[in-house]
Amino acid sequence: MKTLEYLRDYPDLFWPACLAAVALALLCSMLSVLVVLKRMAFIGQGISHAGFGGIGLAAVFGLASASLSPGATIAQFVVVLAFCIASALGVGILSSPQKQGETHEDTAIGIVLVLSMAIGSVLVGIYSPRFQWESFLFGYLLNTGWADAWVAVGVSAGVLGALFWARRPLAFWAFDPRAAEAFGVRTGAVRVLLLVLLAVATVTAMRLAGVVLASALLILPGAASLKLSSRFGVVMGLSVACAVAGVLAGLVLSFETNWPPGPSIVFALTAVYLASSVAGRVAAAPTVEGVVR
Amino acid sequence: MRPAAERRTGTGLRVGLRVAVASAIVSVAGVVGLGLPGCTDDPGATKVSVSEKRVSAVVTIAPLAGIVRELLPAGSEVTILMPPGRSEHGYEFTPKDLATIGKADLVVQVGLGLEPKVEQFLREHPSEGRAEVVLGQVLGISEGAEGHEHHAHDEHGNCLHDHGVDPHVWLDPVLVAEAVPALAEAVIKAGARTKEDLTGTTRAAQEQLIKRLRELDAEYAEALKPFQGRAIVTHHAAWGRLASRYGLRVADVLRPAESSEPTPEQMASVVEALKRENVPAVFIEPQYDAKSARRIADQAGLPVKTLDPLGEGDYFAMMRSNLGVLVSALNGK
Amino acid sequence: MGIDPQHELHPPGFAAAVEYRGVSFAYSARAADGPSVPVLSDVTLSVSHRERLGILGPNGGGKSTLLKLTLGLLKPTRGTIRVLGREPSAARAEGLVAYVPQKSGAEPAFPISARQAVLQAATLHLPPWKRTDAESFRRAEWALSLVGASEYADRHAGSLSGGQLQRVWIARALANRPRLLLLDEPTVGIDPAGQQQFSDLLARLRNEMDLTILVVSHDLRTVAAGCDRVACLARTLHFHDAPGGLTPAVLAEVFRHDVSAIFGDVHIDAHRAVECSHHHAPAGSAGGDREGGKAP
Repeated sequence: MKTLEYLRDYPDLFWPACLAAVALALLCSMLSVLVVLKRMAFIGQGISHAGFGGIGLAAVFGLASASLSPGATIAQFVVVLAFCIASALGVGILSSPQKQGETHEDTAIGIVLVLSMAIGSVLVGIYSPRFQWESFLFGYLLNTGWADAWVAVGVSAGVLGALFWARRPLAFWAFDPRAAEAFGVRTGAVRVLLLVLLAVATVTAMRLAGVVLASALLILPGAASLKLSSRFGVVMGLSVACAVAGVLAGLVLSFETNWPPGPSIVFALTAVYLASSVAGRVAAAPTVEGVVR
Repeated sequence: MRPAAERRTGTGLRVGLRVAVASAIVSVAGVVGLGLPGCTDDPGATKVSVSEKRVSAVVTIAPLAGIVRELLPAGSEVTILMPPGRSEHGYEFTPKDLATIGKADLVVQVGLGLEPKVEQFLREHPSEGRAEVVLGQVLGISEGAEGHEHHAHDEHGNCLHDHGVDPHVWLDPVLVAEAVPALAEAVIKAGARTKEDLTGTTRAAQEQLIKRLRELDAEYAEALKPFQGRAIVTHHAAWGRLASRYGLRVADVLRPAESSEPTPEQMASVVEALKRENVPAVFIEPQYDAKSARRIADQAGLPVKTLDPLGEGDYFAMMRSNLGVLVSALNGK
Repeated sequence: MGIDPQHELHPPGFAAAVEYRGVSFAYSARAADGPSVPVLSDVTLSVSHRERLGILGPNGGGKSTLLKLTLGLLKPTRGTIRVLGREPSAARAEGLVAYVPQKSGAEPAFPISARQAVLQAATLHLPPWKRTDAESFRRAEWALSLVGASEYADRHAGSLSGGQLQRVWIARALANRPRLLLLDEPTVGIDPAGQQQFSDLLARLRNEMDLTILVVSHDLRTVAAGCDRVACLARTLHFHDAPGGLTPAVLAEVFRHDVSAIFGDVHIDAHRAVECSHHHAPAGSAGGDREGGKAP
């Protein structure tokens, strides 16, 4: 079986990718529940394309180049991340839900998305015209080295920690934003926090594994787990499980068939989602069984 | 207090205002961005200065400029379409590029699947008296199975080059020498278009150029003689022709298909090749992101060396520089 | 911010639960309004402890605004408001005031049970490193049984009916033992039987808790049935002691800004007031029963 062969014979080649993939699954899975519930999938897209603008900005600082020192690589990551966070916040501001509905957010995302791409295109053209940004911005999972993998683990831990720390106001806001506001939850801050975490997750996943996989990880696990349970805690846990299962299955698929890892994982995640849909329909109507823990 | 109508549309106005401001910024930036490169360095084309109206030549990649310039009279304009630093594969020719071609007297391209858009354009927009050279055609290499023996195979005998035939003909000085007569003819034809009789100068230049290429060939053969049969591993499959000309073997290529990333099997196979053969280094090109190549080289404890298949426009400098890199790597330095 | 369930400490020397003095308010930019008319104008009102006060009025008359001012979400342009002797925002920050909004902004697909929805409010004050504790569970259980929602407490919130959800929202509001409960249009979309249950609920709440209740509604029946007193609010306050004092003439005057408006099932119009109240008000409601006679 090729998978075992690869893992045994070429450890430094393939283990970092596996570690990074699992870290990304953890990073994105819980966020994906919120993304699906609050219908923020398009924002994830917008943020990932905002990365173009981020690279443009990096180009201004001379950081858009194929070969950078480790310090410069970190600086570049920070610049792209800062730009994406700014874009996410821009979307948040443009679509503040005081009087408008969700269509407005849609529009805001579309605007920020195209504007970022335009900015990136122009800036890279001026400052780093030789730069092949597509392959650079949209990573490839098998290019992950140990350093990248541990960065992913660290970012994952940070984001999960933030989610845990803010879980009560976040869950309340996610469920009933108006009531949360009336109960004193600082809904503006919560919303900003979610957008920032989403930007961090998107940029990290995108740099390591490509934009397709980043988007998939931010939608499919949550969508799958929501079909399986109507208890929030259980949904969160199942989302992580679905994401990790999908990622591992996808990697095995990639190794066995020699298909690229990103799309393979997307296939696996989709299969998990379809299985959940069927299982969810087969099970009883959503009720909460037993005593609440 | 503001009138009712304005207040009712207040929020819509605010959004509209923001969109308008954003659009204005983009437009200004776009205009500036498009204007600026034109003022300083045009990444789309590199020009040689022009004094009078002489032959204007367009080539697709930088090495061709170095060759063609030798045959043209002084003061001719040679435009390179692909900006330096971009890979020769998958380049999207802009409308500006095509317009430049349209006005040229001489167009030189590699063919063999490298510049399909240019070939199409030339076909659809024929021009009276314009001289066109396609290296692949001139050398009698077709895009089919014929050129097979010229490029590397892995241990299963599979072709490692995605196109089926290796278009990197310019890296083999013998092939280039074979193409020079046809190039010279084209230059003369282009000269006729600009009402110049270039026959004399061009023939002389042709002899000179062929002589220099033969010297280059001899240099390569001499320098690489001690390393016959040695294997090299390259990032992309550009070096097959050169390797087979001078007795080297390309044991494996990390990225056989230029557009996509290496598959798991490809990566494992390269690591295997590095372990098995006595490979001196992993050779990357400056036009590609070499992250995976560096990772693999690090793991195998091998250095990473850069070979440039395109150069900046000086053909001989590029070829000699590459030779230097190859020799020092094979010497274990 | 710990919540003292007994709320025994009051600043000395105030008798009213909520006190509005000369309160005026105008939005600086409000899309739906006409240009320069203020939303509230010189409202003065004293709400006693443990009183159930109904606030009746037409749409746009300022009822929701008054609630928001009471919560401290808005500041009055003129005048003062004291909630339990404090500034409204301070009272809310201390957890003394609870609010059940008109429209539920809740996501029906959200995976949460009724009990967990109540717990969300009950545990808000806990620091992040603490688990949900027994005390919070107890409070949630107590609130749910008080509103009569225990039997469906563990069902998915999105699967509950309007009336059931209404109770759950009230339980959520009560979980932190507030002293003042604000209900904004609580019986919209609830049938007459449900409305009766609702007024029973208000009575029960008042009896079992030290709670002052403000109910805002445009529905005559709701307000009259469940409340001790009714205030009519149409930018300015017309105050009446007893629901029976809500004669058609009074109502017509209150609602004259919205002459052809239809609210609930009661259609009031200056000329046809008698006809309408006769026609639409079923026996036993509109305060008629308790006060011993229908309005003429």
